Amino acid sequence: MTLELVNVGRIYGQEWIIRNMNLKVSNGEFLALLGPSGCGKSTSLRLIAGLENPDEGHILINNTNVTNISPVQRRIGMVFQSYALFPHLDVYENLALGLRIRGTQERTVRDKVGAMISLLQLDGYSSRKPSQLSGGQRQRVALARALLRDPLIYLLDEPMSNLDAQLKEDLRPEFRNIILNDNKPILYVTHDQHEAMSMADKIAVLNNGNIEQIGTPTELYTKPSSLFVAKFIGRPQMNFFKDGSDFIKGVRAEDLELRQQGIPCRLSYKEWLGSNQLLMLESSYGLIRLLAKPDISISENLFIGWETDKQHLFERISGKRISNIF
Amino acid sequence: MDNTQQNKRLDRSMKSILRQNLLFTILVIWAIGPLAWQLYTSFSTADALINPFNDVMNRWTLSNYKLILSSETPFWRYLWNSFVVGIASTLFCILLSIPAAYGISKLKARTSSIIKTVLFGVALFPYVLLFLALLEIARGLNIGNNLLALSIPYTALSMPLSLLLLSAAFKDLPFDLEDAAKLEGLNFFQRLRWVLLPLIGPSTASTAILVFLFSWNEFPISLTWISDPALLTLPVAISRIAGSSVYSVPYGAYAAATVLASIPLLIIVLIFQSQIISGLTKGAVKG
Amino acid sequence: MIFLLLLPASLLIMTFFSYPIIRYGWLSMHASSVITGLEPVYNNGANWYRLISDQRFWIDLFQTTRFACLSVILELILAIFIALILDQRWRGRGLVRALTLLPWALPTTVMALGWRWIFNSPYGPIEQLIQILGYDQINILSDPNFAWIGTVLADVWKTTPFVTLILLAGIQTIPEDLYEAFRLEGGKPLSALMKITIPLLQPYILVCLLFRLAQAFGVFDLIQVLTGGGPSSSTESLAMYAYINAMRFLDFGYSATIMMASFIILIAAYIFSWITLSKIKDLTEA
Repeated sequence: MTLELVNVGRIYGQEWIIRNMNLKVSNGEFLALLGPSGCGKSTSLRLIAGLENPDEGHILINNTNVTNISPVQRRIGMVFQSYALFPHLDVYENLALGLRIRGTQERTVRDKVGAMISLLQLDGYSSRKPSQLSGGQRQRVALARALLRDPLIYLLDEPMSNLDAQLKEDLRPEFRNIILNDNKPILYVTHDQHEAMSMADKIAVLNNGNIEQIGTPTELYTKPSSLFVAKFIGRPQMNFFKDGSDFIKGVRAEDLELRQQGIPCRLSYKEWLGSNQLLMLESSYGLIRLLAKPDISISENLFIGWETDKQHLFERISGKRISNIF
Repeated sequence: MDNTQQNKRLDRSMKSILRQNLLFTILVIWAIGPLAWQLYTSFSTADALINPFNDVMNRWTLSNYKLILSSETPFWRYLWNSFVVGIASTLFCILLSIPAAYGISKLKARTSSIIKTVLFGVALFPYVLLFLALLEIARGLNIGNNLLALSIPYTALSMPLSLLLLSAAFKDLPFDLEDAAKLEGLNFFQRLRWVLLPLIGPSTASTAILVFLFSWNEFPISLTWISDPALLTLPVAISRIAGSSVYSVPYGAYAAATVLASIPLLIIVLIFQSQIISGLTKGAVKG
Repeated sequence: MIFLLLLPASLLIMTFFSYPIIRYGWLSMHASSVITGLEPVYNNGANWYRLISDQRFWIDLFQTTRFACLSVILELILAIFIALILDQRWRGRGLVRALTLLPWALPTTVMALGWRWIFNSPYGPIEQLIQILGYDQINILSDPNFAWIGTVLADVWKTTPFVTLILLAGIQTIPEDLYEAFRLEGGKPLSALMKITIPLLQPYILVCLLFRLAQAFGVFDLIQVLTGGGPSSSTESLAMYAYINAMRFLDFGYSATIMMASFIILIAAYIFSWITLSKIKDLTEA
């Protein structure tokens, strides 16, 4: 274990931004902190980096308590959402500044920065200012700076949120490979579940400062531990059926079937998605989303149902998952 | 048809250019007319001044300049004094304002807005009303007739504006930048030196020029703190000239003095125009 | 840490702004003049009684207020027009801006001396022009009824650039779209000025008003050089009266009382106008 959070909490005024946060990230493990905006993701990164101090709990790096140690001594490699490149310095100087401050010899600085520039394919850009770079290039410089820090852990705060969709897709594997190569714990904050699912080994879903569930992407998708996770993970969103009992049944759109009889529905509209079509249905349970094969024709009035082994069951009041009931 | 329309449009734009040029000319005459008159006067003989619209050929002279540059305390001496005070107070003010402005920008939003309101109120204060107490301070500490000491009240009087401008500049920096520098291992002074100061450079320049102009132009405090004729600052020297002989008309020499006093400022304004403008307007907007 | 950073600057500001005001409050309750050997002796508010019955103080207060109000209003009106002209894009705008800035940048005493020569009778250009046109000389600075107009004129000339610049910055923050939308609605250029420009400039106008009124209320350098307060004190300002009391009559106690009174009047005026303004705002919003 190299990064560990024990009961960490942070309070702003009267409100706990983060409460009872427990996390472990090992070397070479890529953990995504996923949650809607305002759930405390960025605050938890700032606590780990030492830019803010927790109001309770401990933070351990390599089994050393670093809770009261300055950011510098924690040796953190961080990529900010805004990249936070120094606007008055060119790419080379941006990368060299930290090394020089830490007392590296000028020869070594040159070698290291040069190597990093070619590793991240920034050759030819070393004398450009950040404002003269594209979004993707800035992001690479920010990553290069974090790598040059030779950190004990990596903290990545929504590093891709300012890039367009295509670029994100292209960068993901490269980004992951480069940073995993260093074999350090990686904590990646994002609000984009697609990004989290495609990059992370494990995902921690955060809600109102609490970790709702930690697990592999598959676990989160197939066994969401609460209504919140079930709603948050997976697009189109899971359908919920409330029938007045103490339980809520959840069924994913792709697990619903068109049947001869079952719950009666009326087609509200449909979206053509290419590989399949998304039907929006009105029923006595409210709006229902159903993923159907692309080639079938849909009538105005229809019936739906599902196999019971595909259904997720949650307690109505606590929202907790009830497992192995069948 | 197309042609006539084009002609009409051309006609209209010609008219508007003419109108603009007229306004432009009026504006320039309004602004520099009185100064041009000083320039004209300064090169005129005393005889020509009595008949300002006659005798175009024989009216020019350099004697006015010779007079004021060769008087007991030559006029360039006052320029130098004002320059010394101006530079010293600018330096003091910037050196003291930067850490304080940084501190203000790091305070909680509520506290810093209270401080800014107070500073704005203080900046509004007609500082002339302070002269008596400041005079007492100068006498009490025996620091009259000292140009460096004079720059201390100037530093203090410029401080509110300077703090407002610089703390706004710090506040405008991207939030993550300083955090990134912290993680890179830069301590406070290194962050100041390598990251913060280079980025607030333009605002610092505007502030510095405004402080310099204030110190260069300040009158009542200099009037009461400095009595040694060799140490007078320019505005006081000019007022002495003005007060020396109310009923005689050595205006050629006066005019030469005002021209010499204006030249450094003309240069400063032309070079630092954009900094002055941005400093003034930011001061208004942020306040 | 932050406290330490703020300390030197706050100390300096306190010494040079707060201390004088406290000192004036104290000194205004004491006699401190040649009679007492410049040693402060408590005199039980005698300075304040003297102030209330001092005609010269009240006349100076009137003259100072008249000077401040008139010059600030003229400056604002002129500045709005000049700012509108400068806002248009044409070649040489930068140079014009620099040139119009010059009067503001010059030391007040320098330009006041210049204006004294321009107003000079009979040799200044104004008098000469009047003479050529065949009128009687007016000799503006020697006439107790008109001299103050000369001081207003010189102040307007000097300070309009400052106001112009701030209003210009304000005008440039108004998005062009607003004017286009207004034109599409069928608005005329002049009503655009009244309906868009002026209302949106309000905060800038307010800043200028606040700042300029306070500065004009403390007018000193300009009048000192231009007229010396004369003729027969007709242009004397409160700051000059306080200065004369301290430096010529060596009556520090009374000088401090005048300055304390000016300070209180200024604050009261600001509080009064602030309350009035917010009342008007409430009324218009209701």
